[in-house]
Amino acid sequence: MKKLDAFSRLTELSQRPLILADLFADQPGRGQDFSLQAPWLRLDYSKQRVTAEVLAALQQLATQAELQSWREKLFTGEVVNASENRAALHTALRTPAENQPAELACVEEQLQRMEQLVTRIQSGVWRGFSGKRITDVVNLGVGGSDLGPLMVTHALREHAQPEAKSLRVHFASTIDGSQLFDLLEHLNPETTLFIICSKSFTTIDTLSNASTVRSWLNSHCADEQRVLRCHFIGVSAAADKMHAWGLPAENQLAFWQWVGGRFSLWSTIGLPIALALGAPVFRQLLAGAHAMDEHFRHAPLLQNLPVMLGLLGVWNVNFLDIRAHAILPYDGRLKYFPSYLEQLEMESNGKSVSRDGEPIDHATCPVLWGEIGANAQHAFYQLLHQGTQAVASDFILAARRYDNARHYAHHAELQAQHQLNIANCLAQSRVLALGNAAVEPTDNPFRHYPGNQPSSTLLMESLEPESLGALIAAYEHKVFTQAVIWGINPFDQWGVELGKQVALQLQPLLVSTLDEGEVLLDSSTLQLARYIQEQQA
Amino acid sequence: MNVLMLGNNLESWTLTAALASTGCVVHLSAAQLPEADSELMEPDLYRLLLKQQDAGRLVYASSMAAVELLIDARHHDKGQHQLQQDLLDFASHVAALPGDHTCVVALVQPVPVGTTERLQTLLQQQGYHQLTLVYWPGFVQAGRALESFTRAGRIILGSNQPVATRLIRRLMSPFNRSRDALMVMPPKEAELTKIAINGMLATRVSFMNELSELASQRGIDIETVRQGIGSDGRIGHQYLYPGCGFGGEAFLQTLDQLADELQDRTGFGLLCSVRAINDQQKDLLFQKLWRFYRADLKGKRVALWGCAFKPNTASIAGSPALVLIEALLAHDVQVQVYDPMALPTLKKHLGQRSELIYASSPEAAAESADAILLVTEWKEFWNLNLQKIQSSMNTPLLLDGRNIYDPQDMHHQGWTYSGIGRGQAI
Repeated sequence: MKKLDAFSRLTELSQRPLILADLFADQPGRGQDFSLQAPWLRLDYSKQRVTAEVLAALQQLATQAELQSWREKLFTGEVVNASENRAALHTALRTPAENQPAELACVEEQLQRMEQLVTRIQSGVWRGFSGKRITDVVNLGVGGSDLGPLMVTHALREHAQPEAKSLRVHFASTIDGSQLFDLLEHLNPETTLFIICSKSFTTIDTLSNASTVRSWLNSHCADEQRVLRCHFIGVSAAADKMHAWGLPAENQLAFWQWVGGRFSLWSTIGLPIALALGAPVFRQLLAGAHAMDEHFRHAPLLQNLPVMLGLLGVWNVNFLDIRAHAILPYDGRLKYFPSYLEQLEMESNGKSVSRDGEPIDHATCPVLWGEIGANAQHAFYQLLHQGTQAVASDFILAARRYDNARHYAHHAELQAQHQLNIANCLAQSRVLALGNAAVEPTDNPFRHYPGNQPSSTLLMESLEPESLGALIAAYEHKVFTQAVIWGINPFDQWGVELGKQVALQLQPLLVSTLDEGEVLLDSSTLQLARYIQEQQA
Repeated sequence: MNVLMLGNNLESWTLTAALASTGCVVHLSAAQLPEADSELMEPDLYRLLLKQQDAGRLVYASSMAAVELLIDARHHDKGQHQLQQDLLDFASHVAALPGDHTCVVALVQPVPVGTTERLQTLLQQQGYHQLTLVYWPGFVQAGRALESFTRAGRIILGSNQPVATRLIRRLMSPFNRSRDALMVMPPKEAELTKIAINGMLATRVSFMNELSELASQRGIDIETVRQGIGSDGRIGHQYLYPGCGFGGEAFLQTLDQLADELQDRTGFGLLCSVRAINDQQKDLLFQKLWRFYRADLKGKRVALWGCAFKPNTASIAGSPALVLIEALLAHDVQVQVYDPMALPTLKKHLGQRSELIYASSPEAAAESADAILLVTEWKEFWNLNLQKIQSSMNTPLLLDGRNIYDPQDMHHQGWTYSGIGRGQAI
């Protein structure tokens, strides 16, 4: 990135003072000028520390990094994940069937298979070992097989179709079995179905949960084959491994190597979404994402919402040296959105080698975290307003809420709460940007607000399956845009491999005498392991 | 007496026949009699209606007439907009009649509690004083419709108006002779009584079904227990039969209505459980089949004996057979169904479905079958030559949803026999 011509121009521009209060004072139409509209989503980036000159230089940076041609490679299925020699065709998962090339007919085929399963389960045709209908579904998956479906299912619960409401959908991901332990306490083995989601079907977290479940079910029904047939569905890119685990072909759904785990909620990994909300709702989610794909592919760079998010991120990280990024949805339904984005952004762009494996000499993904905005006000906003860290923020908000609750006697109160929520959202981004300038000046040092913390506001008309689909896709493409500019591969995750290996190495040592550990382990790990052995003895 | 009857269902035809037979001229909103084999008809009822028609006491397709009594036997949706509008129209029609014509209006179907008084107030607010509303619940039972009306143990009348009470008393006097069975109470009380009776009956049955589940787990014969419970004078023997679920349009509607009134939003109310248990019972025979064949039903063939929701009716409303047929077909099981009366209704309801065969006899239905599922306790099933039937089957499996056979006999005959809370636990 540093070799690109625009880099030095941007460095130069970043040396000038960029004070948001001044920028707003000097540019009366700034709010209007620095907003853009995409399908289902509006972005106001006027509270970012940018000028027209900066934007023009950022556009050049993207062009010089060949964003446009990389974008085409992404959409046309070329190998964009070089270290694993794969395409990253998650956009194909939401392409309408009629526009799908013949070689990707498998997408619609699996989607329809998934819908048939959903219908069988929701309508009560699918039966447990004792012949009873399924009342509860537990998704066993971790990472992309958990965060995306969990986030969407929670966000769109209000949109659940009547036929989906009879099913309760749960999520269990943790390797320690804690979530399962709680769930199995009150679930009925006769009426609970488990979805095992793992792209490789070797993920130890998920398979250890699955194995516990299998043992639980077997204690209620000794007929192993019946348990497998009636209580498990596998979703994976490794059919052979699913077979080996004992899943019959009818209980398997496929997706493909070219679907990255954190981009997989659009595939059959979305099964829990379709079960909890209804297959048509899942299709709407895909349609919203597809609309954003088309926008990303065709809109001019500075009118392009995902590109703009990406450029602003690069500006903040590489030129303003802002290394933290807060995700602040002002909407309780988006509770899991920050943790979803933590994976999407940090697993994709938390890299320090180039696409060719060369070390890079600039910063990449910032530390990213978040919380429901209004709750975070009572948690970490203190640091945003008066701490010593520069933090960039994304505020996410729906303009309309509770349209579906007009018939309730407490509708007016709910509406009032929504208004209060909006006021808080707008107030916080305003104070972060302007600091004391937003109010009367004071000489009380404890009441000093320096401001100038940049933020973007993403506004939806309302939170619908389509607008959520568009929002998620926008962040996916933001991540891709940044990766192209940073010259890194966002689709691999080698950084998570070593820890898995070492855990496998440690596992047998923990139950041994630890003599071998003397040679293999550092003194810290060794003494921790000894202490644990003592406690367990 | 001139009566106007709105509706085309078992209640309307039963009341029509009974009242016409006492000399009333009944003006009907219906255009003609239903077919003799219609699910709305029963043989003795049909004969009586024909007789009244011949005697000229039935006037068809009549919506407005100078009558002394209007009986609305129609089912109305929750909002009751149609009922309200029709009442206003009728009131204006009566007001336009010469002289001081007045009319009593009787609602006979279950209604939301408070409906009768609400409508009476509405009429008064609109200036119509010619109509007097009463709530006069029918207790017409499918299978013995005529008898259940003409020999009712009690007649409940929700009426605040002596003039209306007198009219109904006079009208019912031919059926109310040996002892006065007329109970007059305010309309709201009558409205709740009507739906609560069925709620209580349903509760008894579901309770027995819950017990029968326990019985099957513990190897207890529920039939013996049933007799023991029923022998307690405070309880009695009625409605203590466990089975594969109760149905019937009127019965289920009143339960829905009661559920609406109770507005149980927690899902833990008694009636919620009563209904949940009943839904489970309707599915129970399928579940047993599923377990017997270890979840592998594809290509199996099953005989369904009976599809009427109870014997002596052609009605299949809410019948467990509907739940079972859908479940079986969804699992690629061939279903051979036989019913002495209700097959035409079933055909109308389901149409031609591949894998669904309408059989002409219980023997034909059981031919090459992997199981018999007995759903309706028609008398003709009790003493069939079961040994001969067994020899024509693939597997001698009989899942009895009405406990009509003796488990020991069946066992000796070589059957795998499982009833509701008796026989082999499957």
